[in-house]
Amino acid sequence: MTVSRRRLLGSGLAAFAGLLGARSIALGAPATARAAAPGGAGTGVAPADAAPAGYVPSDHRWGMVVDTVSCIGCGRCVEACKLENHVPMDPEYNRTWVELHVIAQDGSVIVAAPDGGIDGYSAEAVAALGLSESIRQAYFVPRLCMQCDNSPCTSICPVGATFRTEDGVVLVDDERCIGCGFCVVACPYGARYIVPAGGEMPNGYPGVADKCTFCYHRTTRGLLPACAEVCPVEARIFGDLKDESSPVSAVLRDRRTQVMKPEAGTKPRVYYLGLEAEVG
Amino acid sequence: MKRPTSIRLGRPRIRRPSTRRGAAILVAAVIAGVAVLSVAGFVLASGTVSLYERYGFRPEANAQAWADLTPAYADASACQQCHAAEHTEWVESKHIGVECETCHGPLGAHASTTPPVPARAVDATGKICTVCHEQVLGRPAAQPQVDLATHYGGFPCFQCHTVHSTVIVARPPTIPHPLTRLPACTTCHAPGGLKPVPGGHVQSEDAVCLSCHFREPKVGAPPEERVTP
Repeated sequence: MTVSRRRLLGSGLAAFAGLLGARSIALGAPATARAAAPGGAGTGVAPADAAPAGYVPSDHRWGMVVDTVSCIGCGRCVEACKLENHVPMDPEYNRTWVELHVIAQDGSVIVAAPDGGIDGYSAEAVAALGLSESIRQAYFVPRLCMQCDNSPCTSICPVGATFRTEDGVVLVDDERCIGCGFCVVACPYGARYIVPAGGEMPNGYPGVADKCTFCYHRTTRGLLPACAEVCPVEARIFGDLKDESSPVSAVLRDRRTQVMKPEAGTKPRVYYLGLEAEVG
Repeated sequence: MKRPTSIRLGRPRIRRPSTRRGAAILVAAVIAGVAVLSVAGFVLASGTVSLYERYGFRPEANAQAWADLTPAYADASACQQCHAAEHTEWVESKHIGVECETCHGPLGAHASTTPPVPARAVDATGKICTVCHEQVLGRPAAQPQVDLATHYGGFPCFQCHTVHSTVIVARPPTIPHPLTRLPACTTCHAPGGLKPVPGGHVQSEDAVCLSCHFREPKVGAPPEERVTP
């Protein structure tokens, strides 16, 4: 069978037009899904309380100091994060969690976080850990995304879905993310997870990567992230690193802070007070 | 007998335009194709649908989408507008560093709707107190904390403590009589006894009774308070 040049050109054009049409139809679908998902980022529905238009990202540089000396392990931050950001209530999925770090007299380290610490640490929960060693030191360590300057998650993302904002927050574009999970394993801090289907979904989609946004919708309105807002002992000190008078700048100036896993070269923007070298 | 058809092996020959006219048509077709793609691209970029806008690398648009979400947690100033009395009590209390929503949960919707959607009920058994004040391994010594096994065990915290003002409003009554040379407490205070204890008590060893009803007298206290077990 031979195909004439004219017929070939003709069918090619028709196929191209068909592709365009199919693409246009496909474009309509996510928008509808979005509108049906309350609390989804990028939703077409205008929120009742829109972010202030005057916010200039390049004027800010958000950072946090986590004070492990003050943390009482009440888990209010874990609960607040889930309720504020529609994070699945399943303890497997967390944007933030609180660990109990126990250092035994022989120097061995036990790290535990039953249910991510969301119910607070009770004597009963700690007893259930079955710690039999002679204990030298024990303290709570709130964990979250380190909002790294040199973030492995953004480097490894094959589709450029995760990026750093000018104000220093690592975000995930949930419409760009293909859910490959490379970022989940690339993160040295275990700060990412893939959103499961059938429950609360921070960004309206299952199967995409999710992580702490420093409560971007709160910080851009001048509010504290939910975890810092509810902390009863001010163990999460949040603020603008570009503002010398901010609480976070004051702590970084006056106290000796450290970052987790400095050897990873990630340049975190979450700092810690009172972390022992044994853990991290 | 027919001979089998010969099969040609080797690379198939590529057909090349054999004439100048054929070559010209092919070049024209390529140019036309590029032109069609350019026009289509222009339509996509500027027209009603923009593939790049929706699926491309678009950090600003996505950051804005995250920023546009509605906060669930308000702050204490929103609570003050209707709950001024509690707010005043709280401001003067030791709990001033603890936000309303730390215990009451997210109140953004409650504060911004008329009539307000109900706020989350606070657990009346006192679990909301013990998440911060139970004595637990790892909790800093500076944090006020109690051993639940010995601290007025079994009663809800609110029986004696107010929360907003963090004062103790009621203590268990101390024992008004001497405690020496007496039989077990339950001899007189058992249900049906001379002076039975109020309902809710369980019959216990003396030491359990004394864990709540005996306090070391203050220095200089009047003699009637100086009871010794």
